[in-house]
Amino acid sequence: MAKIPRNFRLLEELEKGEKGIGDGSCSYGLEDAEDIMMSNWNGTLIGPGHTVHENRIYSLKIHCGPSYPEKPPTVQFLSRVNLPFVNQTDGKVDPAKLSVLAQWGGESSIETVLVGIRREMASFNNRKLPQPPEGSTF
Amino acid sequence: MHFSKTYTQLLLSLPPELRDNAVEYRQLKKLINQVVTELNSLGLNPSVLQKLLEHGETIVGSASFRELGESLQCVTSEEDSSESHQPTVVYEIASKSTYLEPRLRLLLNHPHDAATGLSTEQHTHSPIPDKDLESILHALQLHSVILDDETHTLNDISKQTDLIIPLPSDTAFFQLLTSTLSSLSEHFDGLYDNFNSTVTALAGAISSRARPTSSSAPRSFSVYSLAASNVSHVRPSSGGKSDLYTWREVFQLYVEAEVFEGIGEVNRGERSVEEAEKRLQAFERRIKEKKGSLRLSGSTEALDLFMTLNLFILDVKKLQSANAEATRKILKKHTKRTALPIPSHLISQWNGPIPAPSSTDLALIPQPPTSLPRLLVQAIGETLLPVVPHIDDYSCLICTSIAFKPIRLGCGHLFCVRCLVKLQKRAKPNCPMCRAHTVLKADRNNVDYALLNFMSDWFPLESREKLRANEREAAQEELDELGLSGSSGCSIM
Amino acid sequence: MALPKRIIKETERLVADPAPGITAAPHEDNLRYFDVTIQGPDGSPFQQGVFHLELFLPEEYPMSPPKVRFLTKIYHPNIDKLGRICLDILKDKWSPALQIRTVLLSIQALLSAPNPDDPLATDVAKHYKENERDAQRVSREWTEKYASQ
Repeated sequence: MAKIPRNFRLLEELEKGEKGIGDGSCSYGLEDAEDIMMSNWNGTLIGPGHTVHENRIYSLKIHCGPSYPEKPPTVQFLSRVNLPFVNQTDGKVDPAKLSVLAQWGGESSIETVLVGIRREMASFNNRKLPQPPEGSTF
Repeated sequence: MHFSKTYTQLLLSLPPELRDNAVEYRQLKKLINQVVTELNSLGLNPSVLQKLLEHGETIVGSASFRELGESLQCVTSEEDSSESHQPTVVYEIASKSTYLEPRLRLLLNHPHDAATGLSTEQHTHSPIPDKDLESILHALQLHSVILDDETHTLNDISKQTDLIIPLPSDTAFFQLLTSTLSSLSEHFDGLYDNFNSTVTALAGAISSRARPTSSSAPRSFSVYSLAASNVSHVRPSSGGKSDLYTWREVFQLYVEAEVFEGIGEVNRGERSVEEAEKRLQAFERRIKEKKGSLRLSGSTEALDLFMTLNLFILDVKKLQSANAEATRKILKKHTKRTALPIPSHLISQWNGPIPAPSSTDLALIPQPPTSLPRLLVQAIGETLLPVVPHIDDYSCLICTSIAFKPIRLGCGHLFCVRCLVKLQKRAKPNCPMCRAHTVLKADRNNVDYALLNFMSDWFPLESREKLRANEREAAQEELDELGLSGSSGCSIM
Repeated sequence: MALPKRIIKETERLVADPAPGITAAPHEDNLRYFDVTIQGPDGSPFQQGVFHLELFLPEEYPMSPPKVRFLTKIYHPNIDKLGRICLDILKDKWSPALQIRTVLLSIQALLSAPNPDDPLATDVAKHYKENERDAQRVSREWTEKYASQ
């Protein structure tokens, strides 16, 4: 298969994100609409139901470096959240502790990262973790 | 090195049939010396002549020479010049078709006429006559010839007397130059005819050695050939031996070498002698290895002749450029040594309608009618090369391989069956060439069998290879469609 | 997977005999990915500018069009802030008979003839429709600012 270069890959992701994905529980877009290198992204996800996160809205920053998509993006929570893979001082996601980043591959994307985080929130170990007050930020 | 020497050396490197028609630079140079002597004997050394002519220029107001047509019409120019009392000299060239006769014309004004005309005091731009000039002019009158009656009438009106001083050596100079140039142009016509018949003969020789070996119906192929007349007599040889592929390679290399003319977007057009020579040598080196693969008798000889023809074009090119240079130099020398100015536009008239060469500098130089090297290169391109069909003329526009098997759409456009199937699978209705809705209507009836046979004959290897590639690709596609393909699974990083 | 013959041929010609004012060179590590430059056409507000683009030939090429994008910022009604180009032959009017060369020449032509009625950058198109002179002035400014060598 032809290897899609970074920029065209990100353009595809942007177009998909602009159309809206899935049930609307996750969304993402460029932080700066004129960023020709498309490096910095905003992500939003709605906490999954029947968990402590239900109805909470979380904002994240996603950075796609020059080696994307060979290398995974770096992810950082803006909204305060208590999860085992999120650094509690600055909100940064530890890629080793989040499977979607640890097992980054050809099918992975910004969307799969958001979906993966949301799945972790609903996992047996994480769904009942005590959370900081709603709306607080790092 | 002096030009004269380089020129002689270059001519010596050319075959006698070309050399003998070259511009005779040395001879012309000697004639210039005679012109100078002749002018000196009239008291007209270059500096004196220059002054006189410049003076003439101010008076006549246009140029220091005058060009006369066959009727010898004389420029009297409303006689604003009659204000001046000074006699002046004009260099003019009378021409009767190709015969040129340069001469000096003396314009003598009579002082008493001026008194009746406008007042002399108003005339400020006329220089004070030089005593020397006056005496020279006086002497000149002794050498001059009174003009014919017609001009006399004009002179009567203008109250002016014109005196003509013939310049025999100068006439000889122009005669030699123009006759050489026109005989050269005639000679070139002959060369062109000879060259053409050689090329036609060679085309026959090569086509009989590059005929296809297969025995499938050859009736149809002349229809598809670019030069049907040249290959129509060719039938597949029974012996099963052919130099088809070697000749195709040779011609391909030749086209790619772009020896005489560039066909790229950036370096388009005729090449310089040096560039052409370099490229021809490179081509010669490349075909040396091909020579060994020619198997049929006569093929090697044909290839040698092909090379010879190209070397001949190069020689013609050399002669043409050397001639142009020699003509330019000798005319420049003429002006410099004698101070007689030569009208540049007159020079370009000598050979009738001449296509203007690219550089403006060259535009002043007489050239043989159209560029002979160009015509020769054209003859090779139009007569010789089409003898072996070229694959590019039979390739599918989409995959760029040979369009095999060939499918002719309802709109007339041709594609290979593989690409057509791909279009149909993607439900693309438009012809890629003309957007006509012909793609989905195509079926097995659209196979062009005549062309298919032609391709199998003339491109047996390519056709077979394309067929195999088509089968491979189709099989892979089937696997992909069934989701059985291993390759996409492996490529996941 | 091996590169299709057609892509090899097109690349050879692009490199050996480039169209005037256009260069295209494949990346060493991805022969379907090209670095492109287009000179702004004379007589357009993009004159004197050299614009960088990137071009990618997807797996389906030439059944599908190449993907092309400006990397240099440009003020043009049919090119958006991310350099995406609104050109019919890159979308529904693509034909497999077209080539990289023809695509790039079409983009060069688009610089000479903006089409504000089929805009991608709507604010630029509005500007071009309401006050073409002033819009061209901005195009020239951007060319000088972002596309000068």
